[in-house]
Amino acid sequence: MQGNGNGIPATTAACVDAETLAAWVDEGLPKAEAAAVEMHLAECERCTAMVATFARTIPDAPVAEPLWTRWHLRWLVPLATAATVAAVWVLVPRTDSPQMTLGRAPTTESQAAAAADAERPTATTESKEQEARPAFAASKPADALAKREESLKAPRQLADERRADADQAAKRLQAGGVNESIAVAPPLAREADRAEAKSADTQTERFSQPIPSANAVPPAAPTPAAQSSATAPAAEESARRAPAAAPPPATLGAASSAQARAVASRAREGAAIVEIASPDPMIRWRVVGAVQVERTTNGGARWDAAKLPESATLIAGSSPSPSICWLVGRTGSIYVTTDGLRFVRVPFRDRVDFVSIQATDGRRATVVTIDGRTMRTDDQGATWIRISP
Amino acid sequence: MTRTATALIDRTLVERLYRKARGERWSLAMEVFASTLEASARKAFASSPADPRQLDRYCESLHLEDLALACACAQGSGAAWEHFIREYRPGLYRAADAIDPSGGSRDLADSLYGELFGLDVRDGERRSHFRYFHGRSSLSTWLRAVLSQRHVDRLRSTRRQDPLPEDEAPGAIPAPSNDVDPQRSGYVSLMRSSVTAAVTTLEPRDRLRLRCYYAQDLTLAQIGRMLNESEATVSRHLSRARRDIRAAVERDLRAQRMSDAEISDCFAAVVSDSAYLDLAELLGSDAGSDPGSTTARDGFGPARKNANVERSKGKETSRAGQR
Repeated sequence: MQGNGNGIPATTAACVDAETLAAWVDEGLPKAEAAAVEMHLAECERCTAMVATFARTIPDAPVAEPLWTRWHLRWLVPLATAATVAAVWVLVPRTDSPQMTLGRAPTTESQAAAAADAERPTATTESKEQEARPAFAASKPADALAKREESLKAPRQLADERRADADQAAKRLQAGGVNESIAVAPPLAREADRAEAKSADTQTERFSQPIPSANAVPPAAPTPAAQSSATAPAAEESARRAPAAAPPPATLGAASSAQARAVASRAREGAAIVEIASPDPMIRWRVVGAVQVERTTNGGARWDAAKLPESATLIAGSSPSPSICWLVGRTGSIYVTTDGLRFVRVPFRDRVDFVSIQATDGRRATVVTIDGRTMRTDDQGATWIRISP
Repeated sequence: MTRTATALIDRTLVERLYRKARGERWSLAMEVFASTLEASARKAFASSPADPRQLDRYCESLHLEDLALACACAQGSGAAWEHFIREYRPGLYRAADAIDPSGGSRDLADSLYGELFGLDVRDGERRSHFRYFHGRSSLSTWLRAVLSQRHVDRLRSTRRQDPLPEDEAPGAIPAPSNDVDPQRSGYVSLMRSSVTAAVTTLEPRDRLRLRCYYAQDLTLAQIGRMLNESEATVSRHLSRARRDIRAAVERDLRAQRMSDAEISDCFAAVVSDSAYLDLAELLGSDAGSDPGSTTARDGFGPARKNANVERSKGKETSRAGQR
C-alpha cells in the first residue's frame, strides 16, 4: 500500500473496527456515532490507512452517477409533464364531445343546454357528470367545460386562436430563452413555458390539418373507434417529440431562428453528458452525447470543443491533472491529451468496450473493460498489463 | 450466535424481521436469528439503552437478508454457504486485487474464508467470523472492510519487522545537510507549526479528505466513492481546505508580527525542493510532535504527494494537485 512510509501505529481502544467502518460507509450509523467515527478517522493514522485501503476496494461505479441521474431526472420531469399535457390535450377534446353527447342525450335536448347545466352544478348534473366521468378522467370539470365550449366554436376560428396562442407562447419561450442566459427563471418555470409552447404547437398542427380551405365544412365528430385510432398516433407522436423539444413554427421568421437556437441548445443540454473533473475545479472536461468532447477552463462558464483524431463513442474519462485527460469508449477507443488541447489515440489491441478508466498521469492509467478485465499501462498504451481477473 | 435471546427484541418483531430477511430460504432457526438480532442491537445500543421505537427503527434499517445469510452460513447451512461463495467470493477477490494488484492480498481473502467458515473451534463449538457481522452494512461492504483491516494489520506487523535502512543504502533517509540556510530552516520550521495548527482547525471531513489524498495517495474518485461524493465535489473541498490552510497560516504569521516580505519568504522556503513542506507527514497522528526532526525528514517520501503551499501571484496552488 502506498503512502504509509511512516509505519502504522498500533490499534487503540478508540480505533474503528471493520464492522463499524462498514456501517459508517453504508450510512448505517446514527448521526452522532457517524460524526464520532469521522472525527476519529480524521485523527488516527491507523484508521485512515484502513479506510484508505477500503476505498481502494470500492468497485469502479462512478459516484458522479447519482449527480447525473439527478440532473437527468430534473429534465425528465418537465419533459414528462410536457408529454402529459400534450397527450391529455389531444385525448380530451376528441373524447369529450361524443361522450358528452352520448352521456347527456337521455336528459338534455341540446349541447347548449348541457353546457348551461354544467355551469350550474346541481344534484342532477352531478349524477350526469358521474355518468360521463370516464371521458373526463384526465381533466377537471372546469377544464372539460372550457374544452366543450371550444368544441362548439367554428373550427376555423379556433385554429386562428390557436395560431395566435402558439405565437404568443413562442414569444414567451423566446423571452424565456433570453432570461435563461442570465439565469433568472427557475428551471421548472422555464420548462412549464416550454411545455405550454409545445402544447400550443401541437394544437396548432392538429387544428390546421383538417381545414383544407376556408370554405371547408367542419369535419364531423369522429366515432369512438375512429377517435381511438386517430388519437393514439397523435399521442405517440407528441410523446416522441417531447424529448427533442418542439421545433419552432416556420412563420416565426427571425424570431424563430433565435428560438430554434435556444431549443437546440436545450435539446443538446438534454443529451447524455459525462463530466470529468480535474484537480483544478476550474478545469473540467465533458463528453456530450457520447461523441462531443468539450473543455472548460473557467469553471463551466464557457465550454470549448476539443478535437479527437477520429469519431468515437465515448463512455468515461479521467483527468489526473488540469492538462491531462484520458477518455475511453467503445471498440477499444482510448484517447489522451497531455496539453489539454489535442487528443491522441492510445493503442489497445482488443476492440472491446470500456467501462471506466482511472489515470495517474499522462502515461499511466488503468482501464476496466466491459467483460470485467482490468488492464494497466505505464507507457501510454505501448504495453498493457492485465491486472484482473 | 447461539446466545440465548433476552427480551430486548419482542417475538412479534423478530418474526416480522425473519420474514423480511427471508430466513426460511436457508432453513434458519428463528431462535438463532433472534439471537443475532439481539447481538446486533446490543452493539448498536451499547452506550445508551434504546426504547422500543428506536429498537424497531434500528432493526428495520438493518440489511436483513444479508444478516440472515451470514447467520445461516455461521450455522453451517450448505445452501447458504454455496450462495455466499457464488455471490461474494468474486467480489472479495476483486477487492484483494485492488488492495494489492500483484496478488499479495489473495491469501488474506483465502484466510478470511477459513475464518468465515468457522475453522476456529472453541469449547466444541465452531466459531465463525460471521458473528461479527451485525447487518449495519451490506455484507459485501463488511467483507471488504474486514479485508482492509487485515491488510493494514499485516502491513503494520511487516513494517515493524523491516530492518532499518543502512546509511549508505539508496532508500536511506538523507542526513540533514550542513549547508542549510539557517534562516530558511527557521522559516520552514515556522511554516510547519503554522500549517499543523491550521490543519487542526479544519472540519473532520476536510481533514479526512486531505489525509486520504495526500497521506494515503487516494485518487479523487476513490475518495468520492468512499464519502459518497462526486470527484468534482472532492476536488472543490480539497481546494477550499487548502485555501483555508493558507489563509490560516498567513493570519498566524501576521500575528507573529511578520511583514509581507517575510511571509513571502516563509512560503518560498517551503516551495524549495530541498526543504518542502510535506503535508502528508503533518497530517499524521504524530504531526508536529517532534518539530526538531523536521529538517531530517524534509526529503522524506519522494513518491508521495507533496502539498506545497505555493505563493504565485497571490493564488495558492498545490504541486500535488498538478500531478
